[in-house]
Amino acid sequence: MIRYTARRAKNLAFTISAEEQRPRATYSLYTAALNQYVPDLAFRLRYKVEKGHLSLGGLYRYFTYEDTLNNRARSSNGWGLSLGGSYRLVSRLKFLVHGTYAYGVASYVHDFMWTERDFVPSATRPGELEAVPVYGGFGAFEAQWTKKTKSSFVYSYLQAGDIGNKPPSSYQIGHYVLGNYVWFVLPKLRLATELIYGNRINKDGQEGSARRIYFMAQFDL
Amino acid sequence: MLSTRTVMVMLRNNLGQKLGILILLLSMAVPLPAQEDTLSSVTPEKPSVGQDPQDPVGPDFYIYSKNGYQLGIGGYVKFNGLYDFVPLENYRSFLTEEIPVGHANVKDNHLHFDINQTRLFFQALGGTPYGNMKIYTSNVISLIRTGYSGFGMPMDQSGVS
Repeated sequence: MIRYTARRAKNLAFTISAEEQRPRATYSLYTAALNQYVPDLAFRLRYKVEKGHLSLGGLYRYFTYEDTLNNRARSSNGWGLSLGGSYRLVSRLKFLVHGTYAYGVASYVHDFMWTERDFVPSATRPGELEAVPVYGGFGAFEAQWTKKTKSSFVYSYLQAGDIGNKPPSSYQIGHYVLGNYVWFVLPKLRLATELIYGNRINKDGQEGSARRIYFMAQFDL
Repeated sequence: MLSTRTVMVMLRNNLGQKLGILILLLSMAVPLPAQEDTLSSVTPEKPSVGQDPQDPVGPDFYIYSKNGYQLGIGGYVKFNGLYDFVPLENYRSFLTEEIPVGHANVKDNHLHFDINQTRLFFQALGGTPYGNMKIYTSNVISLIRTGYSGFGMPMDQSGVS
C-alpha cells in the first residue's frame, strides 16, 4: 500500500511498509468478521555482499473480530519473521535459502494463502479465535548453464502448528520439489519448462501426492 | 506535460509495436481475471521494471517530452501450458493444499493452455523539484494488476537504460 526504502550504506537497505490487511480466518457459530482499519506493518532489512545477500523481514498485524456469544468486539495480534539469503558458490551456481515463522499471518505464506487459517476458533474458549503458527522454508540451487540457459532446483517444506478445532481432514503439512529449465532463445523470447512433485499430509495423517509439468513461452514487446 | 508538437516517438521494434496494438485491441474486447505467475524461477536477464521479478525488462516504445518526461509502454505475450497427472484446481500456482488425499487422489491426466498472464505495462519517468519521479502500472490484458509511484530514487534504479 505504502512503502519507504532508506539506503544508509552502499550495501544496506531498510524498507518499511503499510499493507492492506486481508485476513483469512475461519469463523465459528460464535464469532463473526469485522472490518479491519489497521494496516499490516512490515519491515525488511537487506544486506548485500559481493557473493550474495542476507535479508530479514518482519510483519505485525492487529486483527479484530466479533464475539457473538458475549456480543463484544475482540482483538488478537499476529506477527511473522523471515530470514533468507543467497550465496554464489561458484560463478555459475547460486544457493538460496529462506525460513519463515508466521503467527496469525499464514495468508502471507504461499501454500496457506487460501486455507483460512490466520485465525481459527479456539478449541477451549467459544467466542474466541486463536492465531495459528505456521513455519517452513525452502532451499534452492540456481544454475546458469550457459549465457542463454539456466535452471533452478527447489525443495520447500511447510507445516501448520496447532490448528485448534479444525476438522481432521484439514491440511497440515505440505512439501514439494521442483526443477526447471529456461532458454533465452532470443533477447525477447524465452522458453521454459518445469516439473513439480508435491505431497500433502492432513491433520489425521492421510496424505496424497501430485505431479505437474509446466510449459511457458514469453515474447517481450 | 506531453504535447503533440514536442513528442518524439522512438520505435526500436516494429513487430513489438504491431503486437502491442493487437494486444491493446484484444484488451478492449476480452476482459480477463487477474492471474498470478506460475513459473516461479523464471527471471529476466536485465533488471525488471516493476516490483515483480517476472515483470518485463525495459520497454522498447517511448514517448519523450522536451522538459525531460518520458512514457514507456511495454509488456509481453505469455503462453502457458500445463499437464497434471492428478488434476488440481489452480492453473496459476501449484498449491500443495489442493492435492487430493486418500481415495480422492485418482490419476486423471489433464492438459491446459492459456495466455491469461499476458501483460501490458506503462511507466512514466521524470525529474521534479523533489527528486526523480516514477509511476508504474501493469495490466493483465485490460485489468490493472499492480501499480506504484516513487519519488527521490536515483534514475538508475528505474530499470530503464
